[in-house]
Amino acid sequence: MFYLVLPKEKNNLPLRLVFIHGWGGSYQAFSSLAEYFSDEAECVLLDLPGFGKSDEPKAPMSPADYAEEVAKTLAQMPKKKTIIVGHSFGARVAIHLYNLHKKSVNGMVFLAGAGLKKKRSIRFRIKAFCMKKAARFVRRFSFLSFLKKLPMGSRDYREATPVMRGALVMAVNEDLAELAKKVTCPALLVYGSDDNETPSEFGRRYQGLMRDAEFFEIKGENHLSILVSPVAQNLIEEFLKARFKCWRC
Amino acid sequence: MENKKKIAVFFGERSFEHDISILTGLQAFRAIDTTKYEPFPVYVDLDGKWWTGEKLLDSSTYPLTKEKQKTVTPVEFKIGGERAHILPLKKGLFGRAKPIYFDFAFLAFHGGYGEDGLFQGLMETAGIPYSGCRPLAATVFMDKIATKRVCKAIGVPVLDDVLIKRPEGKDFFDVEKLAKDVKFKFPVIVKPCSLGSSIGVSKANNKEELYAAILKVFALDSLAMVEPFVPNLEEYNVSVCNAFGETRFSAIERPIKNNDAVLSFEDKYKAGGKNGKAGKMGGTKTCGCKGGNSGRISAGMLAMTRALNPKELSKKQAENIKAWAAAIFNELRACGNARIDFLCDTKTGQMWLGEVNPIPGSLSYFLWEAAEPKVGFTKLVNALIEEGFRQEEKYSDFLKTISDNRIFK
Repeated sequence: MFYLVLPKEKNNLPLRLVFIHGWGGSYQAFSSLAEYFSDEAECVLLDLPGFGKSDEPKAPMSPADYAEEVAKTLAQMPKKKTIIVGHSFGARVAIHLYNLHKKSVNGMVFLAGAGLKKKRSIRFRIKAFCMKKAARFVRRFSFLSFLKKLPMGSRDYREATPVMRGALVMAVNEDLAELAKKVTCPALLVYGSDDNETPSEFGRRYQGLMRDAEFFEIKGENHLSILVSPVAQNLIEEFLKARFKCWRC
Repeated sequence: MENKKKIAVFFGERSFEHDISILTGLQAFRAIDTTKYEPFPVYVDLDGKWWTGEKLLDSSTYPLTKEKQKTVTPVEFKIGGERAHILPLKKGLFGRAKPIYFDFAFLAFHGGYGEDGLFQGLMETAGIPYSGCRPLAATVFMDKIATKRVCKAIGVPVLDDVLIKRPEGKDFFDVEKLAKDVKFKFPVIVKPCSLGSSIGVSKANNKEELYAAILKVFALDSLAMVEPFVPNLEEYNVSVCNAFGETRFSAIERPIKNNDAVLSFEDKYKAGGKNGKAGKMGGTKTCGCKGGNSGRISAGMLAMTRALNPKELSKKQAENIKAWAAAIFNELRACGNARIDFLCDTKTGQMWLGEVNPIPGSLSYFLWEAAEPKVGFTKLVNALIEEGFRQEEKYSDFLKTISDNRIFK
């Protein structure tokens, strides 16, 4: 797995931030945040298998598999207090990582974290049901080549390779509400008010599920813009300062 | 919901730096902590007309053409009544437009009308707390002569200069006669006295070029300033702020000239793990910018066009820069986070004040993020807002004591 460590030089910073990007993203999503925090905490920026500069896995990986992969990479590094910063899909990996290796995760930050099921309107559910039936139909009659050209599935799905499609399906079918209940470490949940993919209602629900979580909604930010929001950066700084004390300023 | 203070973020204005101001305005807007404050945009266009509306936050709205004007709301500023406010100019049949009250004006102007104390004066008159310098400091800082004279008085080094005034009411005049006092060795630098950034600034290598440069300035300003040319020039800039309860300095920056080598993010940082496939990067999708430029450029990217805390500066030089910056800032009782630029002859190490920007581009947030102690963009904006409120309180306390001096009782 490809990863970057900031600062470049050997350090004895007591805190480690591990940044896990969202679906279709790469470590670059966090470059501005990591650069900002890199003099207070060692920042590890990952490219999950199949994204950015990391090779694609041979078989589809579940979010739990991804978490194990991250754990393996982290295990090679000197031990430090570790906070996982997950954007969107990265938050799914973070929850699994916590549940698989409780001792190696001391805190969590979600930026537009995914993992819960959206509350859907009846209209949407009917539409989804029809689409599923239609997809089955297309698969069965795939010898009719024009059917293959129909835009089926979400944009992420269409853009993915067959292996990554498998991983995506595994991820989106998971509801992490039960696992989230077991999260007892300090957690910061930051969501944008204009986010349609992981609405801020997710954050509010996670706050109710986790034992020690703070939720904030930032007005005007969406699913991607939240990554470069100065307000989000400030909330993370305040969270680290209040809960993990080792802060210079 | 709790009662959040309403912050009007102002940008644009009739200025050469109109477009840069839009960028600063949108950046500052995003940095305002919406868990504490309720910001809304007010755009002043190149004709001086005021506009508000959500659409102004989208950089694709600019330039605000006739077509796009339909997506935003024209407003006027009302003062002299119970409480200053802006009023939508709507020609509706039903009822009157609802006034928009606000508690604070966050000023993100650059250049004329907005950075030079005029708009600040309007806010003073209207009784609305605002960010940054008060009118006096803003006006002096935006006038190169006034700034230099103050510097001279308090011992901050400045370059010698000769001022050339455009003759009034004449279309034709003898430039040669006007420039007769310029005794400096060529080349010289000619600049307008009141404009910010590098607009209208030119280098003259001989008399002919000097005359041309003066005429060029006269198209923009009625006063030209001629200074000796600084060889082996580098600029060093630092931002100063008193909003944290003490005088604090940002990192010092040296803007990088085009021909300098530029580092990539990965060049700067250590790469680990197995280097897998290259090429396809998730970066394009994840840039996270809302409508192009309104997004934040990563500090890393900015660091590539400037050197922060440059190593070639000696400790003594860095201390001098900070001491001089603080001296001029505090002499004029300035507020906000003015950026103060110095010129340096890198061969001799000699330095002079270049100019002062009361409201620096992007509010110099990238310099504050690299300051010691570092200050995030949101913290900086929060501090500027709180400082603006404190300034207003001081003034209101002062007004209360005035009642003793009344003649008509």
